[in-house]
Amino acid sequence: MNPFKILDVDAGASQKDIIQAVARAMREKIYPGRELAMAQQLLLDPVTRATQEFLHVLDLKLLLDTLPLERPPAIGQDDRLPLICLDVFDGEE
Amino acid sequence: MAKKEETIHDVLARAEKLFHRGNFPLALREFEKLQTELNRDDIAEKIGICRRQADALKVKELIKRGRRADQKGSAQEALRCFEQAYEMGKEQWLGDRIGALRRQMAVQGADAAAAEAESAGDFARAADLYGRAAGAGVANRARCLVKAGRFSEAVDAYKDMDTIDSSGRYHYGFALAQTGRYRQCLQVWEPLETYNDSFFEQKKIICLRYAADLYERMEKECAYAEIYKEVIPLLETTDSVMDARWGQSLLNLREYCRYAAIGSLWDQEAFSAVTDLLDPSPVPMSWTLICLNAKAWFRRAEKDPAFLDPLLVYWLTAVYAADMTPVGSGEGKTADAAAVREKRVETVENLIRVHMDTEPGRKAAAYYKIEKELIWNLSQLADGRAQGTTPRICGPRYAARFGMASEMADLVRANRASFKTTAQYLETGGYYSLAGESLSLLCGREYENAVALLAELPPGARADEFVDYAVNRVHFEFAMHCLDTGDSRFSRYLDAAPVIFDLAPDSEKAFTDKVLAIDDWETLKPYEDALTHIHRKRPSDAVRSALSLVMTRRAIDLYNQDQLTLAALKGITGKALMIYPENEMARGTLNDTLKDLETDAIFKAFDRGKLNKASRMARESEYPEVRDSFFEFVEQSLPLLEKSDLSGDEKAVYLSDLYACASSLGTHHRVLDKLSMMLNLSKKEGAG
Repeated sequence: MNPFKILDVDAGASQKDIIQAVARAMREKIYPGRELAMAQQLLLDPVTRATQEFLHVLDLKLLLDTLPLERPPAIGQDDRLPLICLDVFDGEE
Repeated sequence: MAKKEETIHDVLARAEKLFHRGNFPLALREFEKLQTELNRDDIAEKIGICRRQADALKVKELIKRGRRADQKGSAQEALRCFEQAYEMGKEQWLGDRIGALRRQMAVQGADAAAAEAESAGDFARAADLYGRAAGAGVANRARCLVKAGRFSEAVDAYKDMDTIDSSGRYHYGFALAQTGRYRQCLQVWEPLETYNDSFFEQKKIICLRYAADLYERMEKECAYAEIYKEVIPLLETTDSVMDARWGQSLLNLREYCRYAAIGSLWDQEAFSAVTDLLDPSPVPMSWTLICLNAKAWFRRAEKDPAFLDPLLVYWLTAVYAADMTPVGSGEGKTADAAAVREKRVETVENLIRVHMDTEPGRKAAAYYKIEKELIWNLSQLADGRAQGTTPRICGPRYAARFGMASEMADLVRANRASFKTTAQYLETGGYYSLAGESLSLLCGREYENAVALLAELPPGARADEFVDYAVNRVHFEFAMHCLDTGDSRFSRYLDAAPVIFDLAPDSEKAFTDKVLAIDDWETLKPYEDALTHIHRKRPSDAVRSALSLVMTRRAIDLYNQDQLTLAALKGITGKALMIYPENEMARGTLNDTLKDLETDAIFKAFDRGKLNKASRMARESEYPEVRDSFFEFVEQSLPLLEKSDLSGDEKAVYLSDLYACASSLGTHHRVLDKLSMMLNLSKKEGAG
């Protein structure tokens, strides 16, 4: 089970956010009460919460930040390339 | 002599004759002459026949001439003949042939005109004219369309061609590039050699343009997965033409798209696609990527135990690498790092437990237990190491796959003093050695595979102490497995046992305890052989004791089943006692065996009437029980003597000898009194 998904909270949610999310989820009745209780328990305990974050939350920012993107220059204008048609292959099989 | 004047009948006769011979042109001439004079219907009919037949002959002749002209390449002459023949015969096939000839002449004309236009640089006109031509005209048209700048039409023309030469390939790629289809252009150009500088430059420009195009698409469409797939072949193509800067730019684009695509697939919980995208992974792998692999495989293993295997490659490495990151977020940051790590370790244990009813689950449990210990040991060694972008420590399978094995082995080697025992040191290093995978296979009881894998070790690998230990360990475990399964190959691998026993006395104790617990003498045989082999190399107390006991027990079993004589039993127990003098079972058995043997000998001597010999043997025996047996024999013989046919004197003589022999063993045995009494009676009988 993914407690973040069940309670519809993100990784940075505070304890207050979590408790409010549980109340909201109970009203919405999308998930059974037992699952909501378990999700709440998992997220309120710092140790289990850290493990749940490790399992379910994907933060790729660190990874993407290590990849500087440098766009190559777009050669030519109006989608026409400044190329001359060569005849170097003419006569080859 | 004057020529006789021909009558009309003569002419008619000649005409008929020519007609019947099939010479219709001459017959026609004669009949036409006659008809002017006779005007007869039958002649008119024959004239009609002759005309038709003569025309047919002429058509045949024209066709023949036409074909001959066609063969000689004279299309004009052939056409004239066929047209005349068609005029007379109106045959359909002739009409078709005339049409084909006319088209051929038109093509030849167009081809020549097209070639002329192309030479003059009028490519648009040349393309149109080639369009009318057949055969090679298609390729020429496509080329002229490219040269005329009509690239879309050129692409369409090339697309429909079955075969294409190098020139066509170049022009096709050129047209594709000019219509913005850079990827297809590079694909089409792929087989062309880039030995020409101008072509090399063009290819480079197109690669750059394509890369710029991909960047633009990524920004506008966010189609990360598609772009990732496109960049892979582009990188292969550009490897030779792009400079380092733009090559790196493409690499970054590829990786960026890969991880961005993974991000969206993760949100969709498409974990299978995520793991597909994670392969291949860069080496060395950043800890972020290790964690990503670990959690993605975890999610897959939740559904299918087959994925426990890849999960375990990453999990503990990720867990121990993750301590570089803030633990948790939000209020979770206050969590104790050690407790969080412990919880994460436990999380996979729980997952494995769920799959314990499956083979992958059982294997994973065995391996995880070992890796947990290994990585814990390493974490203690690595505490002072500087943090980097890659993990400080890792599991053996991760190390083997991502090139960290020697680094980990060095870490173990540098910290030898930290290990409690040499065995622990060598075992830890062994898992990170070249033979580490074989050791890992032992966890899953894959003994055959483990041994087979050792064959792939490079020559001289055993010079490394970790490899040597791992090889010995695998051989030892395989030998034990063979013993358990009744496989005779155990003897080939037993040389490893003394080495392992030296390093790990626990292994020796476990083995000897196991052997001593076996109570079936047939099962015991190979274990006795194994112990004998090990004893020759390493006669330790435990091995000597176990071997001595096993020899004794097995000998007793065999004796009890009449498969061994007393003498053989004496020999074996004697040997067992020599191997381990403290073996009380062997000692007791040997003593009993010696007593039995001496008693047997006394009985045999007694039976043969050799009383002195029997008494001497009894007297010389160190066992009182043997002497007692002598007296028992004497006592048992007395009733038989009484019933015998011997006379009183004879009985007296025998009893006297018996008394003398028995009394030489002692004077206080009750049998002596009985003998004395019987002797007196016999003497009296003899006197009476």
